Amino acid sequence: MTNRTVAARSKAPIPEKVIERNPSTWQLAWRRFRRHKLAMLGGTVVMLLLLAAIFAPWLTPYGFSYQNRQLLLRECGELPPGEFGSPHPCAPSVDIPSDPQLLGQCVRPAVLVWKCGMHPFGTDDLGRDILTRVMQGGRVSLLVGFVAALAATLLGTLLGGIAAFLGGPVDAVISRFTDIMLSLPTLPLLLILTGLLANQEVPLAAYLSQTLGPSKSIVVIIIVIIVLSWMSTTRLVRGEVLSLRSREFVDAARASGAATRHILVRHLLPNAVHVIIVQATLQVGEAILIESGLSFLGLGIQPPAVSWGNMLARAQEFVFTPNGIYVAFFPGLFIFLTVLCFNFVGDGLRDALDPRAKR
Amino acid sequence: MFAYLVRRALQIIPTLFVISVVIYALLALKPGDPIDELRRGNPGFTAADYDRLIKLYGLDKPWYVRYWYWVGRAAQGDFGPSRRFGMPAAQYVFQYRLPNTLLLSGLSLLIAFVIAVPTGMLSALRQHSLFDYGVTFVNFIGVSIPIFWFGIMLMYIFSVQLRLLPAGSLQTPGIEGLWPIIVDRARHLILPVAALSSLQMASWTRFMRSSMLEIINLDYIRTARAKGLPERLVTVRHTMRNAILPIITLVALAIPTVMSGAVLTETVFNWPGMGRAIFDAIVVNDFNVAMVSLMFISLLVLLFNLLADIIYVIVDPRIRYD
Amino acid sequence: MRKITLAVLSLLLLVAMGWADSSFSHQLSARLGPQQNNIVIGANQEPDQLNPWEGSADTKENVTALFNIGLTYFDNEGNLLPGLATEVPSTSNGRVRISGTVEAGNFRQEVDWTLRDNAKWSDGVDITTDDVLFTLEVQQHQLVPVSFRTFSNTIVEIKAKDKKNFTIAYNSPNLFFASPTGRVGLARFYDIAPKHVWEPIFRAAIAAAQAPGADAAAVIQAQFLGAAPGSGTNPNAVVGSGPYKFAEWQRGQFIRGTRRVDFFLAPPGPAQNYVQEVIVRFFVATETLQAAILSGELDASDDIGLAGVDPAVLRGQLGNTANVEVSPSGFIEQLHFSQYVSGRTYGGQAINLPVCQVADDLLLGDPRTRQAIIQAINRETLAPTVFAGAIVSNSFVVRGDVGFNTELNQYPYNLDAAKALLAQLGWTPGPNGVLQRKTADGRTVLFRLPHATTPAGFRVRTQEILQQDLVAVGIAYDPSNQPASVLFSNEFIYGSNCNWQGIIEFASAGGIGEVPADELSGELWADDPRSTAAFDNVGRPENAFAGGNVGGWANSEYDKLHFQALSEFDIDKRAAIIRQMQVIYNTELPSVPLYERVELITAKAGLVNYTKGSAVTRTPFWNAWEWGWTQNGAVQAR
Repeated sequence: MTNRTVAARSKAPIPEKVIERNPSTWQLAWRRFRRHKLAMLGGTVVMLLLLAAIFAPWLTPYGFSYQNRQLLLRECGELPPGEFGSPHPCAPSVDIPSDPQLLGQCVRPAVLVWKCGMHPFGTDDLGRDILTRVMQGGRVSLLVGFVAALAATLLGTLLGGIAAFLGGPVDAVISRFTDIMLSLPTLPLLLILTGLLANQEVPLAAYLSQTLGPSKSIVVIIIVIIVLSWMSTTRLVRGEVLSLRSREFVDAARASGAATRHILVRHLLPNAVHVIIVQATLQVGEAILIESGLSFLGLGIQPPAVSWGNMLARAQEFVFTPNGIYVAFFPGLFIFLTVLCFNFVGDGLRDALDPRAKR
Repeated sequence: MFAYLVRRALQIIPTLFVISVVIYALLALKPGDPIDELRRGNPGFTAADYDRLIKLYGLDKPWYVRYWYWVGRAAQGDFGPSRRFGMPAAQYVFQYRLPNTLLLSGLSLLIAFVIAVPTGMLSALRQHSLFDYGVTFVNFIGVSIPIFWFGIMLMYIFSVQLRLLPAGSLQTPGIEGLWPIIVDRARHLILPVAALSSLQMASWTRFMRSSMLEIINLDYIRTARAKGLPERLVTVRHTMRNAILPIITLVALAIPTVMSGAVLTETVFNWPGMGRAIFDAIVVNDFNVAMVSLMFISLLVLLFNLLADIIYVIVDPRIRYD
Repeated sequence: MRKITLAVLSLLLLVAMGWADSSFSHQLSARLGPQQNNIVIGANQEPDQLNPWEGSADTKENVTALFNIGLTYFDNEGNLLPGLATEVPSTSNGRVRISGTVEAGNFRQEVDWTLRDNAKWSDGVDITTDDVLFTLEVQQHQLVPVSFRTFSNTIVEIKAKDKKNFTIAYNSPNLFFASPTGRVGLARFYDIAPKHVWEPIFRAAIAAAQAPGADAAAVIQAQFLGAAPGSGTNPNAVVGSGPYKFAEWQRGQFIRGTRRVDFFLAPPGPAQNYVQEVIVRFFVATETLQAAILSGELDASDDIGLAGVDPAVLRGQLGNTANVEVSPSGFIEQLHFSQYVSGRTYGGQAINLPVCQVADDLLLGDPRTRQAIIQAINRETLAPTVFAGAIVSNSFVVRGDVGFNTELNQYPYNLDAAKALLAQLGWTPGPNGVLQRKTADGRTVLFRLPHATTPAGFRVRTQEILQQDLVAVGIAYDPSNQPASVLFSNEFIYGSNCNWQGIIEFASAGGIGEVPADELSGELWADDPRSTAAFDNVGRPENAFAGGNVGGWANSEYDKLHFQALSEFDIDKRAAIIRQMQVIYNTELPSVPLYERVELITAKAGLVNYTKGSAVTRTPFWNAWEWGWTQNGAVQAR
């Protein structure tokens, strides 16, 4: 970086330096990355999603918890009795036989408002704008995904690298710890942890609810995902470094008297970096998916906080009702889109960073 | 080498012990006890009832004392009765839940493996082909779809809309004859297996592809090719053997995870497996069932980890454990 | 390498398949529905075991009703009809005699029962008074972990006149002496258990449990409660008094029973016109159950599985292939307020109960706070949005009950009234429009109201609606969800622990007609004047968290009426007392009633007599012997 600025500032005077200076690994990587169309597309979409998430409150006229309930019930209530299937612009699309017991009640979810154009993605069962909620949910989901994946990858890489490189008792301790963490089954453990963190008699739990209030569940989920997902990276990195360690170039470096740290930082980690990056990109999506799974079991991000996961989990209640499929469509689409784009980016990064890539 | 493996195998015992302490402590410290469940369904539950029951169940003692009793009996193979089902916890788990889980997760993993390995390989060998892009795209879908959502979608399409397949459960009650039962069972398996194997399939294909690509570019493959070895031989003997290495670790690690982590699929498809059993046992505070199944899963994980290490050694002769 | 892996995996799979298969019976009749004259019912609560001694009513009552019948049962209109008994005892037929008074300590209530001559167990053995005596012995045995003894503990003795006649004597009033499922004081489920089946098991288990060094609880669990007649592992061991004989149980899947030809109640016309076999299938997720109903795999569904599903939508989807019956559930969804505040009195005396800081700061102990909140909630739109078919409630008693008070304050949605009440209490608008006030000790507190409940879909919706509604009056709403196992745990549910300090939401049973005594007052009574202990029903550490009053509300006048009602045998007089209690409830609002829940069951077109009807009926399985297909000649029975 410094060299480049120096070179740029002192333009002509020392020409041989510019010629001598080969583009750095990262510059090369960036060039290769730019050529990867899908990765660029993915990166752009991720950026857009991030921007939409960050600026969500200013991009939509509705609050994410604003319920258009009055409208919902009034519109349906105004339909003439016994004619639920009448061609009212907001009428439910399914034919509901007239039923005196249920007169004046609306069919949930009222995606029907969609047709009226006020809510481009429609509304959910409480008459809330789905577009607004998707943007708000993106804030939480992306936060959970990024933070959890980043932390888990860093932790995993560190431990895996150290274990494989140092070997001996350090490896044994780290590997045993990894084994233990891996053999504690994830979901049941989550169930127990959530229970523990709900118990105000546990000091940490009391502290968390005091400081965080309603967003406590977000932090709890992030912590829990980190705690439970660093191990696969550790094992992967350990395996990779183990197999790299016995490669010739490491022997060569060692033979030429390179220090341990030097070998680890200059030779092993760069060679393992593509594996780590692939794992990290997968983990962003995985964290988002874990969150949605936990929401499905009622243990995820708790309302009123909204995430794609808990929108989707809630929408599934309506899968078998008319219109219900739309309520689930958008949060599902955004989970899919996000994970997809992260994978594209990871793919591009791998091609770009792999020193042996031929493109 | 052999000494190393024996040492690793022996390490399983203290590890298991530590795990059992951790799980027992977590279960005991979690709010709630077995009496809550009884009280909830019974109006008119009195303080005297509570006192009587808590003593009867031995819950008045601190958790480490109870753990000590538990571990003493567990060492002799007695995991205590299930409070909820009134039968030995081990019998409930191993007789009623484990076979179903083995069927579902075994089949899912098998199918995922059988599809993922050749697909990933082909996709790597024909990098940048239409096939490669297609496979990559499908993989992306596989890893991006929330599994329970995928399951519900499958159910919505195939059993609600098309009415082709049953909406969950193990079997249709009232089918007789060996062949009809097998057909019935297979029909019930299609959707949950499809849902459960999708994630593994996608991620394994992806890893297979990336490790193939990595190896294809290595010098010794180039050398092999330069020597004039037939392409088939290069692929099978040199590339595949080495590319399969990371997959094997993943498979070994995935087996126990799938067994306990299938709770979402099991819930959606109403499949009475281990995942759901563990979840329910924790929810209703049926500690013995939770303990025996969690310990079983942990043991499996440890064994498969060991297995992964052994396979590493066998497949990659460069790794030495001294 | 791959070949080996494949081979190993396929081998494992084969073994698993064989193993899994071996546990299925092959002696079933094939196909379903009217063609086979059987019925497949979808349910989402599977019983843990089938023994009549313990377990939760939710999971057990439905299925066990296939294999058992009590001394009496409720029909779909709420009439009490004789089951195993020849007639329902009452004072008018001379079968119930009351003497003495509780105050004088010489109270005695005697109830005469006569068992039907043709009442037989499913293995052909006569049902006699021996079974009755044995059932009581088990129920009262100290080593048996039956979950409650409220009624059996009041039984002084049972006199058996002969094989079919017996008299139960109680030492305190039992208003529900004839109600099924446990109220009589015998077995927890369906009154009488077969002695010839359970006695050898019971004696052996007790002997083993009392042996030196034995872990009594584990022995009783394994050898008594988990014995074959309860676990269903040996179908022949499961012996019951009901219309079907237990045939098979695939755990997590289904329970199957076959029609008993020797059952003493008969459907109209020849019995072969009615279903010969019942299969109850269990579904964990509502969605799966719904899918199975829509795909036509099920002939009917039970009353719990479809909670919260919109009946209008279901009707639209099922068209004329099936009927959807909506019936009152007898449950009222309520928001309970923490009453653990300072400066409370009970009957003019200061009381010593825990104080929770938040509840105290928010003045939740003042009835005006609760009145403000109830008027700030738009319950008229909340009820139908949250729970399709639900009706707004203002009482702890359900509409249609004999004790229901129609004259109560309806608390319509009224923002101005709510704001005025809050202003009266000293709340002024603060930052972001959230109310604030200065406490006596000089702190400024914001009105942040915490709300805890389980993450059930309809409750989450309620939270979200409340949040929006309460913001309008300046209350910042602070909801949190806990899994049911946490929320209903000792540590959590009791407000005295201050684990929740605002409101907590759950449903309470709300009928007085024939429901148990404690539900008579919505579990809101606090102190039993007859006992020496203080605040018996207010769960807190000192009384090992006993009692159902979780919010800690205590009102001496209400308690007086509660105990008056408890010893009032005349139903009209009792109803009058209950109406008085509702007035107190309606003014004081210890809990804000939201709505009465409804239940729905589905039955395929052509299936007759599958109905629930009233809230006291408790289960749609009450008349399982009358289920049948019109295609096969079955006719409407009532």
